[in-house]
Amino acid sequence: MAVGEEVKLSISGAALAALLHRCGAAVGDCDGLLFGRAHRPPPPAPTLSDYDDQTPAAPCLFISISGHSSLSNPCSLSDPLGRPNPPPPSSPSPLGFFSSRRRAPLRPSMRELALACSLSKTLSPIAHPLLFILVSPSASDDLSTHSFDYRAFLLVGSRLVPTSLTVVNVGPGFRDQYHSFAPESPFPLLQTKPPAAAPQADDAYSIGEQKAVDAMVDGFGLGRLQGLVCAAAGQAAEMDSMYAGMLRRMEKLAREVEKSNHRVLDQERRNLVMRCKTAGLQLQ
Amino acid sequence: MAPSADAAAPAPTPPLAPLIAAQLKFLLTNSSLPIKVVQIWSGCSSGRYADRFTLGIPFCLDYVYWDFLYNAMHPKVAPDVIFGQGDEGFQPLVDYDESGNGGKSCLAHWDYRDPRGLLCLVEELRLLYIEYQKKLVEKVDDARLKFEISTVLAKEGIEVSVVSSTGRSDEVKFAVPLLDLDLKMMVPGCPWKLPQKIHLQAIFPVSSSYLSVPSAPGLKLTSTPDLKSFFSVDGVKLPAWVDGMCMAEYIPTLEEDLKLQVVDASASIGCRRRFIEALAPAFGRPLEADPIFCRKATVLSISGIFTFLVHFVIPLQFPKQQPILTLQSCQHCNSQGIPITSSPKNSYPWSPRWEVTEMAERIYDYLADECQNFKKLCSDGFPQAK
Repeated sequence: MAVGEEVKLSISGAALAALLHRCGAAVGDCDGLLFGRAHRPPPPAPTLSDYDDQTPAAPCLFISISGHSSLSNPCSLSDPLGRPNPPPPSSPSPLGFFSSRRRAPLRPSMRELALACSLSKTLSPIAHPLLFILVSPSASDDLSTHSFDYRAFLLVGSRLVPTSLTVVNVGPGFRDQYHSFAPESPFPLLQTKPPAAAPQADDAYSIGEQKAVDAMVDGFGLGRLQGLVCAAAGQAAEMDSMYAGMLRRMEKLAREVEKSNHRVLDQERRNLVMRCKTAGLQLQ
Repeated sequence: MAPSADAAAPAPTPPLAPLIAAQLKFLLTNSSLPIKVVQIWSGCSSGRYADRFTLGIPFCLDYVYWDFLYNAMHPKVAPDVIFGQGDEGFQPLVDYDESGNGGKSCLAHWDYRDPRGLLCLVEELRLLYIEYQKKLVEKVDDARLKFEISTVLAKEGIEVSVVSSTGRSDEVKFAVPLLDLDLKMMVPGCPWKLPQKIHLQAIFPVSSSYLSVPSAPGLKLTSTPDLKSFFSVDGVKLPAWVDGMCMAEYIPTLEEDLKLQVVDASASIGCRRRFIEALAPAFGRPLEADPIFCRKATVLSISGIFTFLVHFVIPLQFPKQQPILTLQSCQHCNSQGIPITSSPKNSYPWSPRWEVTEMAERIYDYLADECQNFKKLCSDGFPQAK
């Protein structure tokens, strides 16, 4: 991080809700990786003003969190000494990590600090300070009230420095993120002009490209997609059928997720029983 | 330090999960330091088992409070530690990672079934914390302190810490263990479980500006609490701190002085023992007596039909100071059913130069008169008593 650079940390309301739900639903503690985007916006266009004494805005780094991933057990990211456990996935590169500890002080523990330091070395090159969110869920005795305290930290040097975290919902506050939106699509790059010979031939595309499209839309050939891109008008029916294909694909995925979730839950339950046996605990 | 949720709702603490309880129990029974358990609470969603606690760990004649977080539902996961509010710079695992010798840590081969785990972890972290504080003190910008540190920091068992408080300049606190003798050996049949120590606490103000005559440090002797029944540090007069002195000069004189007094205290036990033995011919064998420090004895006496106990509390400065006597009737109780006792008596005739037999006889003579007053007090004050 450049000296004196301001860091603006934000999380979308939905991502924060999902994160807090994950922390609240865990049996004990849990941790995981945080994903999102870090970017430095270009200096804003000169505003139209009658006065020309405006100082240029300081360089600013925006970090926005859009999601997380976590395993069900605590300390899944590191060994007891805080060394990162599995090599973090290369793509997409995480922004940082979170840790949830029930009813514990909102100060980084020795292991979290060690993990932050070693993760920031492993995730090179990252152009932003490593992010850490600490969550402390607690519930009243009759479980009627659940509260979540959280605090965000950025790794500066070898210290985790508390930083304010803005929750961004759709609205005027969202404008910054909206303007910085850069689309990332798994669709292959399609030429705007159809190839002269055999425009409908599917074998003009590589298997990889075809797979990428199949992952999005069931049974929609690349040729048809190409046709959509190139055509000038009158393709509403074709467009509809692509969306229908996308929805079919989504539904299929959802069913698969539902089925596998059941199996994961069953396995979780079995694991819990085994763990309790190991710990000598009685399940209620 | 304490989680805010707990402060708001003082719920009964659930029991610790068995494996964690075993580790904590092992720590408390086997540690050579008086470790305090401040608070125990649960980190499970069901709240059925407790799995985290705050320990008060002795450091530099004070306590540091660290939170130890286990996971009852994930027994194999090693505990994590949250250090105190001002100790953000204490990063033992980061240091391990940088030096590459984390393999030596007990966390590297954590066995959740081994009850010794927590004790090893606490001892390891405490040693690292002592080193961390030493490094902090070495960085303090004060010429005089730099000299003190270079001369005494090598002394074994020394602990130092930087004390910062708002509104006052920083101070550096030294806790210097004195007397390299085993105090346990000086008391035959000694019941102390933990090693007993006398420490000199010296608090130096940090001043970055150079003063020709720096002020004397705040000096105080402290001892482990059990030592009080053998030797009281409050009675020790500290040698004067001469201007321009340093601790390396001061400590040897103090230690010599202290050594003589401790030897005296040990001799005083023998003297008290002989006194208790000398009570037997006049009063009969004591009902009970403190056989180790010989600080207390109780005898049963009869005057006519009036039966009463005499409690002797023998001071550390015996025979210079006389024993304190308290009479307790065996026949009279007050309205709450508690036996009536007299006020403590220590103004009877006494000379430290008497032989112990004479002391016993003189006390016997004094009590022969005094018990009549006591008997009167008992029957007058409570005529309804038998």
